[in-house]
Amino acid sequence: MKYLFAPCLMFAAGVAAAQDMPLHEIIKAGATWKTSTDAMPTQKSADYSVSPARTLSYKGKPLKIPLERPTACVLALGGSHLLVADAGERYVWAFQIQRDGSLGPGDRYCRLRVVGDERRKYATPPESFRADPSAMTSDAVNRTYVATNLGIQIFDPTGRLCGVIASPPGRVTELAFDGTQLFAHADGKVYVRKMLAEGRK
Amino acid sequence: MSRHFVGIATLFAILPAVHAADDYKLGPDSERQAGVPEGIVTQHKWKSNVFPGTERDYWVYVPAQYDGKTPACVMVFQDGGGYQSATGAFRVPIVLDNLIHRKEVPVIVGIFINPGNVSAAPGQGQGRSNRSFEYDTVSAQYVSFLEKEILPEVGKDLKLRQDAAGRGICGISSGGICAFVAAWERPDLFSKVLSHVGSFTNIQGGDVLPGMIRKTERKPIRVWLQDGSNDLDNLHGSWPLANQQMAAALKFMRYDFRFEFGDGGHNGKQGGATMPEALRWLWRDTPAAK
Repeated sequence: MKYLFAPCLMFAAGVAAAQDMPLHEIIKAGATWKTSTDAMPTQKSADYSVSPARTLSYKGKPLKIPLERPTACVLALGGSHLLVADAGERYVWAFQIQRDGSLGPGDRYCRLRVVGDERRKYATPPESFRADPSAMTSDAVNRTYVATNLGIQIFDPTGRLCGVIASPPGRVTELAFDGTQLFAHADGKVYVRKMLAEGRK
Repeated sequence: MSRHFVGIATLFAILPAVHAADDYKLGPDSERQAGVPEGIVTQHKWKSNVFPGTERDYWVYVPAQYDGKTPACVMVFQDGGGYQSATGAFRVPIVLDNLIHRKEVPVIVGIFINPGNVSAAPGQGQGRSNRSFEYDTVSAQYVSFLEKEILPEVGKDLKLRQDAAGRGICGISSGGICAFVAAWERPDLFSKVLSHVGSFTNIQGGDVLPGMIRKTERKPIRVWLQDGSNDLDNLHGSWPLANQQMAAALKFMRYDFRFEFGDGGHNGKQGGATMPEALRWLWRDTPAAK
């Protein structure tokens, strides 16, 4: 029995370490946003989309979800889940994807950092508790990137915040990876930033 | 008998001198020196709209080397009355006179601001000190008070630098966390932070800062933290542990920072003794005004 102890410990340590994703493993030190003349790379989102009217659809057919105002969505965890950002409150929800493409039950998954401090809720306008999530993408190791009013918030595959990085100037309406370059579309311009993380192939 | 005596005497001779805790003394750069031109300190009053109903005193130090043409660097001190006093723990105008004269720091205008008070209507009880609300809250309100009210007001009569590289901010206790949060919220306004026994505890939720530092892209700010092992430990938290948490977070995120951890209590003795060194360190390699 005791011979299993060490491998078990190493396995547990490996799992714990895989979830430890600090910012300095994600962003390239010294890299900043630069304007780009390239077009935004297209995101592979397997037919899920959120319309400007805030309707989530699968292959053009609306899907009913318990979110006030969905704004953006992205496939997660190898395509097993759909993450949907909500403008109505401060969470990105995760929904299980069924075989036929419809969505199973979901729950609040990524807790976005917001300007407002809940301890001062009574003295702060409600908008301070909304992050304005306006775009999302993911990378090759299933981290989620959410453009918000505080910057681009990056979450690990278990939904925990890794960190917040500066956005390019303006409001980001599209995010996408091309290799180790993260592209952002903001106020009519395309920006690019070199990262250590890379997109899915 | 004499052999034992020599042995014991030798033992006492080689024992290190006993060091009393919090035994910090001001150095020569905190005293007036011959041949060093003196700047001028003027006192003013301010009524704020960002903190409605508050009134406060503030002081402005203009160094003798300010020429009226070159924009001067700015350093803002919270609890300003204490920092500008010529007989207090810090004596900042005297220190700046000495350091600017020797060109160890750039030409710096000091703005020393006391916290706001809201007076009671006549016969209606006590006035309200706004210090904790202004200094301990983790928000951009205090720095916007500096941006919208104090800096433009002082800038009416003086040519001041408008860039973050030319601005620093300092405070003690709640003023220390206030200074850090100001630069954290607006690194485009302040790039240098000096905190003395900073209150990075849960007075008003300030204990979130180490975690936020670790999970936020590094900001272009330079931080000098000073605390002592005999600092406060009370319902809000442990100051020594909180400052060590801040230092560990800054180290993890590879900030340009210095952590001076002595054995003092909740006072300005170590901060005052190290003020010249802190100012030299914070303002080293400051680029000239553009």
